[in-house]
Amino acid sequence: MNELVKAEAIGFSNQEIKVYLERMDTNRSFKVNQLVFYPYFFFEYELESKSFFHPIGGAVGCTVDGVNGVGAVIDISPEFKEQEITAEKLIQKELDTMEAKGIAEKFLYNSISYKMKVLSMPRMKLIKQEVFYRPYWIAEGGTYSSNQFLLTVDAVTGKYHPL
Amino acid sequence: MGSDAIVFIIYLVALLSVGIFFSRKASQSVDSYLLGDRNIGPAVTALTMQSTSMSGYMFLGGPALAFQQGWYAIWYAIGDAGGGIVNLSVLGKRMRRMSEILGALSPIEYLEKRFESAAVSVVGSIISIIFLFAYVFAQFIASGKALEALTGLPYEWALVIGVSVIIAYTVVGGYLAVVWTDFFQGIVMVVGVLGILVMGLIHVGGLSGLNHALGQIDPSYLSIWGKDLEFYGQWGVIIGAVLIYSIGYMGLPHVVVRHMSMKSTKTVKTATLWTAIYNQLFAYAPYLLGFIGIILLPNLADPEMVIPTLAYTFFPGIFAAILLSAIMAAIMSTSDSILMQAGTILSRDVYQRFIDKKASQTKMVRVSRLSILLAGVIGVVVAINQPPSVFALVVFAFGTLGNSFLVPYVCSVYWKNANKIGVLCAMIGGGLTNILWTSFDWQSATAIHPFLGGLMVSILGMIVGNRFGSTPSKPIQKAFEDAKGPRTLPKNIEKNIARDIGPEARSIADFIGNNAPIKG
Repeated sequence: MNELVKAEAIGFSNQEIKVYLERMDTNRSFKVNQLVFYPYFFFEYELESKSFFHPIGGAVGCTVDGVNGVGAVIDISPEFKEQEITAEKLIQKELDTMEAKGIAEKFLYNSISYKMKVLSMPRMKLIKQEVFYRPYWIAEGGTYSSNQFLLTVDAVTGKYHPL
Repeated sequence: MGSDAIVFIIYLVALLSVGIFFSRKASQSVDSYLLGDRNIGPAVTALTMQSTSMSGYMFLGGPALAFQQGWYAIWYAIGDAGGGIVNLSVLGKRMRRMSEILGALSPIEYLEKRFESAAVSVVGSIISIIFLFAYVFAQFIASGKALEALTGLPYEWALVIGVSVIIAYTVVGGYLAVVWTDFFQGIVMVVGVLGILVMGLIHVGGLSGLNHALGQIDPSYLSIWGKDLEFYGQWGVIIGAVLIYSIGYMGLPHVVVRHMSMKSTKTVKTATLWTAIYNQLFAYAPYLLGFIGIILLPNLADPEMVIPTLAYTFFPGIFAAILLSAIMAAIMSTSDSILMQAGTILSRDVYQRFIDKKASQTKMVRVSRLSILLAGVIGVVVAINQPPSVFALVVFAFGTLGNSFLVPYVCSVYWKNANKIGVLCAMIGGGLTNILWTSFDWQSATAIHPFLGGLMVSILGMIVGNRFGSTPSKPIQKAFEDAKGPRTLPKNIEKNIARDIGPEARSIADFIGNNAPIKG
């Protein structure tokens, strides 16, 4: 069954990932065929501060991992379009929007208070919220069963992590 | 106002200008402000770590101990020189992997998630706050003494001005400003202290001349057992003196957090090399200057003034002012980070949890800032009325933090069945023992250093307490196994792993039915 969701576009094709990984480890071949879509919440806030030393303004974006609830500040607003994705590729989110919003605000306040070292917090006004999915490739490395390994590769940024 | 005071003010204004420059530059975009550290390389990372770790203690407390005890003090320097390396090699990799798996962002949150207990978080937070503030008080006192030497103002005034400067710097500096001023300060600190060491050694005829002169004054200065062989045969004191700075760093939340937040393996490796080189150059010099002080400043009333006095003795006023500015730099770069961290822990983990569960974030930040201000006022009052020595206060605060957290952090990655009761006993037992051992001077009666005493009780608390707790849950046991390493990945692939997508990788592994992730 297909679901209509907002998803980010694939930045690195499976072939590009394969070439990239094989260039890093020339003794090994990689198979990059499987794609999964991972859920995130995106919140964008407008900030206002009148402090002389930190005349901060503009917007700040925060994503919240829809399964683990981990927040992250992001420097570029993600672009996504509606896509139909089959259920076997779609990881279901485990948080609801209110929970995610709470996590995002707490995370942003902590980041701001710790890193910016301000005496008073800037005002934060929610201007955008979305649920979106990010594509991840599954890469299989190795030719023999004894030294095989799996990586998941962020199809937007190319960052990877072992599974 | 003397020319040296003018130099100091110019230095301070320059430092604040760097702070304002980076602060305003970064403020043009929120994103660059909050993400500004993405491009910080290993050298800057290493120097910001070291200038934060090496506080005013290294310029005042350490030399004072050397001035009073002779070569015995070198035990502390040995620990300090190797502490960073021990910390990284014992705890570094496993803890980074574990914190990545658990998705923990702060050392206290890490303990809470690893041991599945809110009580661990609360007790950990309370201990952190109290002793981080004690650590900062020591910096306040150091700033008062340094400014007193520089400006000739009465200690009380110097203290108030010094604390005001620290608070102003904390307010002005953003993250980028802190990183870059720390880098600059780290260089000034090592160049300044090595410069005065070279001048000092020339005056006493090198290391041989130094030892010869010390032997003439009192042969026991050359002993590793302390002046008048005070600690003769007391291995418990010697071992404690080495251990406090060689393994104690593993128990300091504000140091441990730096390892957790490192970006990649590449950065870690090179930063470790920079740290090791910096520590070897820096850690011994203040103690050697303490020995030189015994010879050249025999009538010095306050041992903590060895370096400031030597600076004025050997250097023209302007150079001395630059060196003393470096002392203030060391104090400021340590104080602002600790103050901010203690305030944040207090508001998040104590105020919101116990006093006002529904407190808004704005209110919490206000609470955090008011706590910092209150701590500043209390610190000034205590330091004016009865200033303890910087050495005693730093060793006390450092030792208590180390005794409270060292065993829990190490057990979190090396003992699979370590549980919350064990950790609570280790934290409370270790910390409390250090406090009592120091307060009632049990070192004299037992010949055991307070840090070693606290460490033994903490280990005992962990072992005994653990028998009364339940076995950690399956996910935690799995996380423990996953954090063991070494990874079975090819070297080049391993080098560029993105740690920040660790939680996603874990969930994706579950989703695709791969329940045997590669260890690492």
